[in-house]
Amino acid sequence: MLHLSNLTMQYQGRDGGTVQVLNIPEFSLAAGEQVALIGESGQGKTTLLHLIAGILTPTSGKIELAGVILNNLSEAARDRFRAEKIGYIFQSFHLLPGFTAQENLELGIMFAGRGGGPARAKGLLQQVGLAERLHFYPRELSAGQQQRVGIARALANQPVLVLADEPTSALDAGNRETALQLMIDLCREQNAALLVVTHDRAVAARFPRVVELKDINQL
Amino acid sequence: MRTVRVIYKNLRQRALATALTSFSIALGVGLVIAITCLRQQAEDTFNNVAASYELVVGAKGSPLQLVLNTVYHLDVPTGNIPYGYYQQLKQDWRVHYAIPFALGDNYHGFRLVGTEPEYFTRLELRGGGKAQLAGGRLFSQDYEAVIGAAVTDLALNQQFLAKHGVQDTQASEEHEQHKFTVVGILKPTGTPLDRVIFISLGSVDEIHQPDPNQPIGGADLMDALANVPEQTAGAPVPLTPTHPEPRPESQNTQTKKSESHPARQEETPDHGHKQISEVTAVILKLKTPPFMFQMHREINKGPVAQAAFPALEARNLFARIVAPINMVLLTVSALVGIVAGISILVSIYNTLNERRREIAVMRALGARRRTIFSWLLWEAAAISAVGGIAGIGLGHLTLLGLQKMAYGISGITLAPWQLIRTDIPLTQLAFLNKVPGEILIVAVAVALGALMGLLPAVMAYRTNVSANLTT
Repeated sequence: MLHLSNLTMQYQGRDGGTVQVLNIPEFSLAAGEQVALIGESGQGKTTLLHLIAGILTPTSGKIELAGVILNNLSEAARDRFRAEKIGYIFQSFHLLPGFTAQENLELGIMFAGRGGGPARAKGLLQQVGLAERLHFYPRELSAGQQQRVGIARALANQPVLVLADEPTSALDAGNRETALQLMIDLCREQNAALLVVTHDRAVAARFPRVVELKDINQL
Repeated sequence: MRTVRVIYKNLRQRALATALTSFSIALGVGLVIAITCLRQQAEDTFNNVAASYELVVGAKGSPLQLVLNTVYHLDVPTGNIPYGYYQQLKQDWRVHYAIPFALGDNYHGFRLVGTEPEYFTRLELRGGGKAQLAGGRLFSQDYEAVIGAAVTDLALNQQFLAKHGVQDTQASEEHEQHKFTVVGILKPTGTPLDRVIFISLGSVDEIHQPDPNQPIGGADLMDALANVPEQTAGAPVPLTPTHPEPRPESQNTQTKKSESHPARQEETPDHGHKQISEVTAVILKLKTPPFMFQMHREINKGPVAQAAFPALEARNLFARIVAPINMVLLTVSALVGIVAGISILVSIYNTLNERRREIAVMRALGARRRTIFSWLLWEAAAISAVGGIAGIGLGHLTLLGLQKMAYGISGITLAPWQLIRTDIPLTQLAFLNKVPGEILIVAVAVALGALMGLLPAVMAYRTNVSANLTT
C-alpha cells in the first residue's frame, strides 16, 4: 500500500552546502498495517512523514501510496491526494483554535470534498468519548481531550493511511494510554494503515511491527 | 462546512482587530457618504430655490451676494435701490410681477424682510406650491409679522423688538419704540424661507426713519449719508442711461392698460403709510423668458442697479466655491478610506505570524494553496464589506445629526435617508447611474479591501508547511 524506494532528502545548509537527512533504499507498509517507527530526535522522522504526506518533495526516489506515485503529482494534486487519502496526527495536537471540536473535523472532511461532514464528525467524536464536547473550542478542552479530537480529525476523511508524529509525547501517562488505544482501535476499525513515529520505546512496544529508523535510513 | 462559515470563524477569532479595522473602514465610507449626500442635497435645494426666482435686482455689487441675500437670506445686502426704481420695474410692460424686498433688521439672528403680500401669493416655491400659512393670517399693516416655520423663538400673537442689522450681535441696538406682533406662521417649506420674519415694506422704512427729536451726528450721520437716496423717494429712475428701447404699438397699449388698471394702482406706492424711499432688492418674474435676458442686460447697463440670475449664480456658487471644497473634503475622506484599507493589510499581516501554524495545519489536512489564498482575500473583503455597510449607516446617521443644525442655519431640510444619486458623466459607465451611490462606494471599499488583502494572501499562499508544522 505504501512503498518507498531509493528515497533521499537533502537540505541546503546555512553554509551553502547540502545536508542529507534521509536515504531509504526500501520501506513498505501493507494496507491496514500498524507500524511504529522509532528513532532519536533529529534523525529525520518528521521529515519522512512530511515526504509521505506530500508536504515535502524528495530529492530523489519514489513514494508510492495506494497505487499513486506521489512525487509525480503536482503540488495541488498532492494536496488533494493528501486530503482524500491521508490522516495526520500531530505531536502538539494542532487543533484550529477558532473552530469547535466538531468544526475541526468538518474542515478535514471539507478539504477532502466529502459530504455528510457534521454527521461523520459527530459520530467520530462520540467514538472518542467526546459526544458532550462537540461544540467546545480547543481552549476549553484538556490536553487528552484535544488529542482525542486530533485522532478523530485524522480519521474524518476516511484515509487509507494515518501518519502520527509523536502523538503521545505531550500527554500524561493516563491520557497517553487512552489516546494510543483509541488510535490503534479506530485505525483498525476503519482499515486504515497507521505509521507512528516516536522516540518512546514503550509506545513503540504497543505496535505489532516496530522499525528502527537507523535500520532503514542508510546515511 | 461552508467557506462563508470558515471566513466568519476566522474573523471572529480575531474579533477585536476585525471590529477595529471594520470601524476604520466605516469611518472612511461614512465620511464619503455624508459629504456626498450633503453636497447633493444642498445643491439640489439651492437649485430648486433658485428656480423659484427668475431675476433679482438690487444695488450694484456682487451678483452672487445679491442672490445669496435675496434668495437664500444669507450674507449682507449689496446696498439699497430707490423705491422709484422698483415702481418703474413693476410698471414695465414686460414684467409679470415685481416683488420688493427690504432688509435691515433681525430678531435673534432671524432676518426681518419687508415685502408685499404678493411674496406669498405669487412666488412659487419648489414643486410649484406657494408659501402657506400654518396659522394666523398675513400681515395687513405695519408692525405685523408673519414668521417662517424655523423661527421657533416666537409664537402667534407674541410681540417682539427687532434689532438693527441682519446679524444678531451684542452691539446691535433694539428698535425700542417699534414692537412687532406675530400675526401668522408659515408652514415649513424646507427652504431658507423658513428662517425669515416677514413684515410690511412700510415697517422697514418707518423703523429706520431718524428720530426728528434727535440731532444727527457720529455714526448716525455716517449711516444717514450712506443711505442718501440717489433720487427723490418715489420718483422714477431710468433703467439705463440711454433711452428705453422703442416698443411696438400694441405693447404700448398694453402698458397703458396696465398702468390704468385699478388693481395695479392699488398695488402701487404707499399702502397707507409714509412714502417709502428704498428697497434692498426686487424679485422679478417676466412675461416670457426672452425678456429675462433683455432686462438683465438693460438693468446692468444702467447706473442704478444690477440684475442677477439666481439659477446661474447658484450654479456658479457650487462650481467655483462649493465644488472645490467638496473635492478637498472628498479627497480627505478618500485618504481616510485608503488609510483604513492599509489598516486591513496591517491587521491581517500582523496576525499572519500567529496564523502560519494554522495555515500549515490546514495545508497538512489537505487545504490547497489557492484555498488559503482566497480565504485571506475574502477575509479582507468581508472586513471592508462589514465596514462599508456600517459606513452607510454612519454616513446617513451623521446627516440625521446634522439635520437640525442645517435647518437652523440655512432653513434647508436635509433628507438623512435619501440615497446618493450616482452621476457618472462617462457614457460607457452610464448604466451605473441606476445604482445608488452607496452601493458603488461600498463596492469600491470592498475592492480596495481585497486589494489590501492581496499581500497577506500571497504570503499565506507561500507558507512553508513543513517548517511551520515543526516549529
